Amino acid sequence: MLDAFLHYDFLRTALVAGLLSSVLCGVIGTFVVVKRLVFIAGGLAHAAFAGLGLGLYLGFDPRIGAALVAVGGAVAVELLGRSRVHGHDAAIGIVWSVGMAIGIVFLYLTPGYAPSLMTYLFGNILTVRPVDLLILGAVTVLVLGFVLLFYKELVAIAFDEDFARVQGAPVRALMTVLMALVGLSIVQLIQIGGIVLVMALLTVPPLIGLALTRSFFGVLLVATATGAALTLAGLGVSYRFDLPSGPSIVLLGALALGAVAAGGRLRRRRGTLTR
Amino acid sequence: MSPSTVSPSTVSPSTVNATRSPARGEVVATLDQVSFGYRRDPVLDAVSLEIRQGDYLAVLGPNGGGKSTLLRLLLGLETPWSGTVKIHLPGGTRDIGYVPQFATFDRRLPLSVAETARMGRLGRRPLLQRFRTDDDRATANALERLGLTALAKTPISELSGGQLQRTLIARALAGEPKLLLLDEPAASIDAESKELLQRSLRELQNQIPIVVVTHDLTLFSGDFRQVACLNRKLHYHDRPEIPVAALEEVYGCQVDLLHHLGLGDHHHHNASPRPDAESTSGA
Repeated sequence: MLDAFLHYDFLRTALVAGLLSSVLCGVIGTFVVVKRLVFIAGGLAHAAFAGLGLGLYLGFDPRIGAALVAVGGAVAVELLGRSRVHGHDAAIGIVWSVGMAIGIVFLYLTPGYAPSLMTYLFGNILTVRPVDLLILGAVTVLVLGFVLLFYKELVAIAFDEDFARVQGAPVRALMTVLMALVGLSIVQLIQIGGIVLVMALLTVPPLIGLALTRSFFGVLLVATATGAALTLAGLGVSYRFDLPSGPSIVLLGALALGAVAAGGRLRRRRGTLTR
Repeated sequence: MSPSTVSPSTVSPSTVNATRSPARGEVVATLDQVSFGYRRDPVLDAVSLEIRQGDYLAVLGPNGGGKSTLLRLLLGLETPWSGTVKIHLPGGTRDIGYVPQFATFDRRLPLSVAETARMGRLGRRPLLQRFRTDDDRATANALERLGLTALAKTPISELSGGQLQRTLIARALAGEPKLLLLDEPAASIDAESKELLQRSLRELQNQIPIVVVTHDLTLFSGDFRQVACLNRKLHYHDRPEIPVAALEEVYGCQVDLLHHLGLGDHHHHNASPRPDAESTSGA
């Protein structure tokens, strides 16, 4: 199997894409989870489909359309007031499905050959092109640079936003940038796992990281490593059993999360028994 | 209440209380005719308040009376509908140590007690700089003060309520604040924490002005130098020896709490009711 990865360019590209995107899953995902943005991220991913459809219909790169919607939407959420948007989960649900509807209509109206809906819904890491790798790499560098430069502020904001604001941290600006990066990451992850699976990619690795380590930086590292391991294993399973790559990755992640949760419960039970 | 009505000159020198508290010094924070609400109805109505050096102010009042909102306005977390909020400290709100209520943060985050307390140094360390050894030193001092040194590496998720509360106070103190605001610091804490909290506030009350929003006055009995009742309007008392029944009737402050404060009939200093000692706001 290793031979295959070394011999086929598309597999190698997929491998690199998986490793890079695991940084997005681990780092951006951790902030999405601890700031409770999962549902908002899901809404953005589905709304981005409107941009994809529009791009296809009008003949520009659909990923640009998706990025415009996802980043624009993420920044809009921040500017409208994240906590207020949070409280309006019905509104998120509407944006979610209306975005999908717009995307599907445009896809339907696009004359001639249009990529299948399934590709966008479930992604395909094997179709990643070298040029996509460049963009993915750039987004990864942006995310890493931002988080490392503003690490102490971002951790403080993750824990207690009000306190960070009182201490003079530019919470609004940092959260706006973070939300824009969430939007960019979502568009990148749509390529890997598809719109439907983005939420799992953003949540499973951080949840495993949160379960396994006791430091915030540790969570970022473990989540990223978990993302990488899941992508590799998922690609392997996908190749070996001829299954689609995105669902393979997500299902392995669910298994891993279940194992970690069961392990934690077991350890706690043993702990109470010995005490 | 105009600021002048609460100036030291209105304090009668004959009371025990006046000799106990140092003269009220420079103003560190001002609310002037501040009105604010979250929806259509105001939570605060034309509230004026001065906080001065040497103050140890208790803010009492019913739930929903605007106590936490008053702190949020002082902290710049809310913008008043009308009126002004001014912080007369060189670092602005960075110089304020803020101890929020429990529910406002996520304690499942993987942070140690020391890491959490060190966030109090955020305003002392510019953007793009990492925390340094002097930040760690100030944090260690704050932890020591609250008896948390042995717990420094413990994850906050494993703390008791009292230990967590002390960690939040240590976080506020780590920034070496020039004004301390505490929101219900005594809510559901154990005896050991109560003791430590009381001791550190006793130490601090002679160093920086302190404002405590609280229900549990047992913790602070006799310590406060000023009392304010807040129920949309603020009623400020420069000396706590005020007629308790009047407080309850007029302002809706709970009497049993005031008894704990030592303001009832069994008050330990010459507490003939002095209705002239109180002034009301928003008139």
